[in-house]
Amino acid sequence: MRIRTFKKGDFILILVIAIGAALLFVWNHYPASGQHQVFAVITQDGQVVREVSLEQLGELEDMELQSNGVDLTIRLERGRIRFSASTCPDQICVHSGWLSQAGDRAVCLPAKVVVKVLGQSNGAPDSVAY
Amino acid sequence: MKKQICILLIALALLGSAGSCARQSAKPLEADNFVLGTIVTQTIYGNAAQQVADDVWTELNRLEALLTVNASGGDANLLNARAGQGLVPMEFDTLQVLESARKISALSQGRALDITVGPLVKAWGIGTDHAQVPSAQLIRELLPLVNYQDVRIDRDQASAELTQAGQMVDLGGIAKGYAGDVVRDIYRQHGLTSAFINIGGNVVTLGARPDGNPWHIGIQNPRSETGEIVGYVSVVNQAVVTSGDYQRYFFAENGQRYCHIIDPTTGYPAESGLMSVTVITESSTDADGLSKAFILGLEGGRELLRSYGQAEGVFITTDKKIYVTPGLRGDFHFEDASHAYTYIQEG
Repeated sequence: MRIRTFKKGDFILILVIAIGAALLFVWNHYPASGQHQVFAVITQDGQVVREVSLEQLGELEDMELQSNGVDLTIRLERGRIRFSASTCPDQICVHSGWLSQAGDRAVCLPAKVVVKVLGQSNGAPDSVAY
Repeated sequence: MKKQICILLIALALLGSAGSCARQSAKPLEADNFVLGTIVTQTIYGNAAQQVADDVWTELNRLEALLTVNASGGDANLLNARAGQGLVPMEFDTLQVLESARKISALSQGRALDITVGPLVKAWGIGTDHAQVPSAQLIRELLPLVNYQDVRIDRDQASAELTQAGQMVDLGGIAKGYAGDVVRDIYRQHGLTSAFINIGGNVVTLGARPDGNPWHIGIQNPRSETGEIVGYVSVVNQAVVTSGDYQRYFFAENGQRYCHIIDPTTGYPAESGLMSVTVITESSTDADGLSKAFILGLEGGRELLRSYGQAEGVFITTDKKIYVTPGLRGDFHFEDASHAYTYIQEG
């Protein structure tokens, strides 16, 4: 004797729910296309002063910033960003060069300014000991 | 009717699982600040991360005021100002730092970490904008003031003293390490299970990544100005602390390059054939103190880690060899984009 507990309509309902759940899972797991871009974040004394999508930059831009007695120039162009000039004594920020990959960062300690690149990182370590 | 309930439950379970997976992969809070004279970054997974991060900033500012010799009212300064004049009341945290420093110093009889190196640090102008080479005579005069055993700690009276007048502690070689342990305790108290803090290059991890995998902590290429790494270590609940000749250095008038780590035996910046030492162990305080194995060179440094017992190390020599201690086998991943280094796995 066949006992039919599920009708065709029930299977369709289950299928619809399963597809819905799968879509929700994918939606949550894979960021929207815009989030694949890399963003540069500039902070001063721990506060964000500018956040910019590096892919959407047009012309080369020099951003002047005064911070804790240090005059800084931050250069932005499509896909990358760097400290290009600083009046700080050690110039570590300038020597850090261009930043373009998610996880890249440069710090000007005397000015208390951080430039970092955020986005999907490709196997970059969680942090670096130095 | 039962059937509909059954389908509804399946639906809820499916949606719930899809939702919860999304929560687990949520992005962490990443907060930067300038404390303890350096850049500090917190990376926190979990609820109320912002509140936890703010609590940590408050605590780090308190510790900075206590432990830096640049803060006039702090314990480190009080201890130095009253050197040779008997016991001085100290905060709990300061006593903890002094005691940990003594324990680590004793392992090398003060040849690596010695917090009483303060007079020499001052003479060399380390940490200032005007680093200089002191006269050989001045160094000879200051060397007798360096002796970790002259830091007397009295737990009963919550006080400490430097027994000789003129002595000075410099806690720069261990204070950041201690702060790392304090921060990890704060994370634990808030019920977090997955977070880390990077205090000017000292990385202290709590637990593992939210997906259960170990954290990957890069080890900097000592000769890369752009912060490239030579590899990374996989760690869970460990501190990873590096001492190197590249962090702060200066050139004397004769062109000689000097690093910022003073050898307490010679009174001169360390020159031991190493470019950096990275120590991996659970205690951040101990990792920081032990990283002064840098002063001892490859052989002496390895011996220091062995005498401590539960620490592993990555030693990078001036001839660009990377020696990795036996316990790190499988957990050190050599990734040298510069192709300048040779990886040697020991034991």
